[in-house]
Amino acid sequence: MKKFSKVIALLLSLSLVLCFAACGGNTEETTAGSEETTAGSEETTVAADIAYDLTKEGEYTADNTEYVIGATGPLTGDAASYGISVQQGAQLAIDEINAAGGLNGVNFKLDMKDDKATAPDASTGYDALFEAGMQASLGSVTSGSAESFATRAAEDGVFSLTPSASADPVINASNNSFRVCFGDPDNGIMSAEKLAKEYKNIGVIYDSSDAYSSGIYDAFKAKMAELNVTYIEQSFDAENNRDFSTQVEALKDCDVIFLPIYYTEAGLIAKACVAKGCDAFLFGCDGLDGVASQIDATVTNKISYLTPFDVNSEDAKVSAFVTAYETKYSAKPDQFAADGYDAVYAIFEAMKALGVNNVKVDPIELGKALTATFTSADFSFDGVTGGMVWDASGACVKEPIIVELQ
Amino acid sequence: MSILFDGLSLGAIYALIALGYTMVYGIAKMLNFAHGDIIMVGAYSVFVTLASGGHIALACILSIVLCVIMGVVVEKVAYKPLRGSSPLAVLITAIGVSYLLQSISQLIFGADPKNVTIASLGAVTLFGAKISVSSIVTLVIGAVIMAALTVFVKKTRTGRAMVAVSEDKGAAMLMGINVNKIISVTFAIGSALAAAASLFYLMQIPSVEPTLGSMPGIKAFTAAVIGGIGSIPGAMIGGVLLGVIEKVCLSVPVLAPYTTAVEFGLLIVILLVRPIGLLGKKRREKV
Repeated sequence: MKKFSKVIALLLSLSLVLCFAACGGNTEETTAGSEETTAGSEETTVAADIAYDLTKEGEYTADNTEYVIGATGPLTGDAASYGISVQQGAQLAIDEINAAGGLNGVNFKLDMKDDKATAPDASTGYDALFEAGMQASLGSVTSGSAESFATRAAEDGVFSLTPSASADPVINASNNSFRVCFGDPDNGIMSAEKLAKEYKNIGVIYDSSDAYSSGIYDAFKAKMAELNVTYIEQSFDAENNRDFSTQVEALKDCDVIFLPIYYTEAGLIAKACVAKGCDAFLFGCDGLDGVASQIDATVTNKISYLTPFDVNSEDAKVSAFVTAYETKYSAKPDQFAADGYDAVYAIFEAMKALGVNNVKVDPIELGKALTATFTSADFSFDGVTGGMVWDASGACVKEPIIVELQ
Repeated sequence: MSILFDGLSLGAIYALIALGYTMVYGIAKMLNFAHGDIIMVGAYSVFVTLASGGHIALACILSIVLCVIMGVVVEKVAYKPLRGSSPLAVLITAIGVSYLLQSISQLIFGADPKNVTIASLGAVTLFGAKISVSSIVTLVIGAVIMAALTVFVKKTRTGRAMVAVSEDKGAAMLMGINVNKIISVTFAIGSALAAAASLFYLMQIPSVEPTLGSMPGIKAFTAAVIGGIGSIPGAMIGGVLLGVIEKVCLSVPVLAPYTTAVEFGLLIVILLVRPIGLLGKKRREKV
């Protein structure tokens, strides 16, 4: 028996490790954005005055023959589909830029490390990238990792523009971290306003173990309290995220179920609705982008979501991106791919505006210059996820569209 | 009532997986951590068969055949050479096999979850609650499989040889039992159970991904330990108990975020109070 209990102890600790690994992306709570604005406005004045020298050579960039944009993201493991999408979108942008002659004849290169959506791997990945000559970065893909990445990048002064990490601590980590996607609280507030106005019986299912989902939910909850509207709350966590019969059972009489979660779980919830005979309208945020691939004709619930990116949009820029992406990867791009694509182009446009013409440019000097450019009032970028401007906190301001599936 | 039924059918899936763990542990004295991933292999084979237009019955048969082959091959290639070495080495190998299977399926199918459409069997109203037919089927077939397994172990020649190997490998060998063959048979049965579990899993959760097997695997292993690892009725009781507890916890909003903590907390309590599990047999270690 002794041997056996040893084995059990080992297994228990292993399962703990697995749990931690699974929750690695979700450690931080979202903080209120109000203090940021004040802190940020001081920063604008400072940023404008910052002097930078774009002719300086960096400590590790002596061997660079291309501009190196670094990133980490989950390329394996549970969240791999997000990381791979960002990587493919970003790589497509890099290929297009290079095909069009790069920046003053110098090409770009994407260097992306696998962080398995864990903070420690993002930190290690950052170090490896920095020492390999990274000059600007896309931060990381998931919030927990991106915060870890941005904190390390802030120590060195490297610029980071995360495509998809939407939790506030990511951009709060430093003055030179920015994002392309909406922030979690924005999503929660916009959703609460819409649902409270249009529906009576409201239900919510959120992921209590995920920073993205909890971040939206917390803002939603606060806004609903402010509007004095009641709703029924259900939750799940990373260890119980496949069987939703219980949650749907509790909400089956609702008119609308708010799903501030990712599309995989949302697809399963839609199917659980079919099994339970629940015909509620399913409404979510940008995480629901991709849900169409997860459901089939048996699902009759109306589904729609707030997103900055619509793959079926008739906008010329978007359809050109979708066609190019499909040609290269034989799959339709999701929002993560679009965010990755936009992030690379935004950095490219900013570098072009700065007139960078030194392939060995020091990442620290470039970081200062890019931060000043992104926060300056006259820099805006029109990408496939909409027209964007950045405020001094690093948040991106853009308009959502509502995509309806059925 | 509906929650209870959901819990029972989830529990039946856990119980089927737990049976695989418990049989392999009872007979080969090793924890086959790749067991959860055999379920994933079974689920992907169902997905591929259905996606290429095959009938669901064909999908069932193919998935069972593939899982059995997979289970036996894994045993021959990865575990047999380690027979007699320390349990820790075998355990680590099993975890390695688990990751290997996950990575291979990610290479083949990609990381994103794939939609599996199994024709819905509809729902019936029982005791005033709407219950899906597939969960009833899961429960009934699960119970039949478990009963058949008990009879198989008790009544057939191979079954009794399995018990003999489990009790004393050396003595069984002296009695003329081919231990290697018996262990292979055990892995084959365990994997066939995993294939059955994958079908029931897909009926309730119609989506497949490379990491599909890991969480049910860990839960089922917990169930096997709660029931008393090595004991077939123990695995059933442990599985059903865990399924019901999970569903009940999830249905109470205050408890819902702590569901996993409750489940594993139960495991710790059971290990403290009754380290051999609910139905485990006390065995004296001979020196």
